[in-house]
Amino acid sequence: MALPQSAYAAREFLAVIGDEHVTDPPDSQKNYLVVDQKTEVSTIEGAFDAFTKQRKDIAIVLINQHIADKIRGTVDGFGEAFPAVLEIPSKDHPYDPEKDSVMKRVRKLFGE
Amino acid sequence: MAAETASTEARAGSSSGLTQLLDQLDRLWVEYLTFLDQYQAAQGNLKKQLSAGHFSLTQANFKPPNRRPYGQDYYDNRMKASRRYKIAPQDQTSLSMRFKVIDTTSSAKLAESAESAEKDAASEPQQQPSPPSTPTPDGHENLEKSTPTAEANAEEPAEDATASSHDPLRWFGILLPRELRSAQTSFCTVIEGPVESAANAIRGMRETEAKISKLRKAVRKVEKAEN
Repeated sequence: MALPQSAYAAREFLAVIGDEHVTDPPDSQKNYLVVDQKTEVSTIEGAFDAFTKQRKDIAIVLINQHIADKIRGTVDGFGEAFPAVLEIPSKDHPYDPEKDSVMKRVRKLFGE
Repeated sequence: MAAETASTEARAGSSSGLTQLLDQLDRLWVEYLTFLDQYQAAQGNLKKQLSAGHFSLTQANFKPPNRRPYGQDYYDNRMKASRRYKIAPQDQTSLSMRFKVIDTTSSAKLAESAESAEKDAASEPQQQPSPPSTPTPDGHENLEKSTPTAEANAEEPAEDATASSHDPLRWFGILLPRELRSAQTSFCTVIEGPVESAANAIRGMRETEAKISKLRKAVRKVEKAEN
């Protein structure tokens, strides 16, 4: 059963998990995570869980595809309606539709 | 004989029901493929705009005036979000939700307040100030017609200053290279265009996927009943 609009009214922010070339300026409660070579996978997973499950004010989560690959299981397993999770390319890693979780769902639906 | 007629009619009824279900399934597939096309187009635009933004930023950093590259060192942690999203129904009859970008920068708010101020000024009569109680030294009474718009004009420079201070470009200085402005435009376009479109396409695909799965089960059930 679809939730009423009031359930989504608080979701208005964009969250970003990316490298230093992607992240936006912060809000009062940080809605971003800068990932570099030293960032651990557990930190990335923690940020993803925080933006998708714990915080109720995030509407869209942008994540660099090469960072999403590090937590691929968690990203592919996320099936909630909101927030929307969008994989984006980074400066040094172009977009690959083969790895995109959205395109994987499409192939699964077509029975590939 | 009557039993054979009844079974033939039942088979005809179920086959027409199956045909209807298959037609519905075809329509859902068309809808799904439309959303898929929208998503792929949005990813293509996103790639172009991000590339343009990164290229402009690299050009701006090629010759920075104080030899510091434009980056996180200049960030003001007090910054508030300049773009927000609103999740609302697509239309009054639909239950499906869609994303919409809202520009919360001061320039957008000023534009709205200016429009409402113009409407107010047009609807209300302008008041003339009363003449001064003491005459001027030369004996002439000069009535200065200061209208509400003059006061509004005095407030505008202050509001312009507030609007410009919310622009993140101000963190990097006053005389900024054209390439840095171009990078900002590209990145803002990403948020307002391809990201919104891709998020709406993902939303639409998820909803249609659920409907397709449900309809496929119904088709399998009818086909099983026929056999």
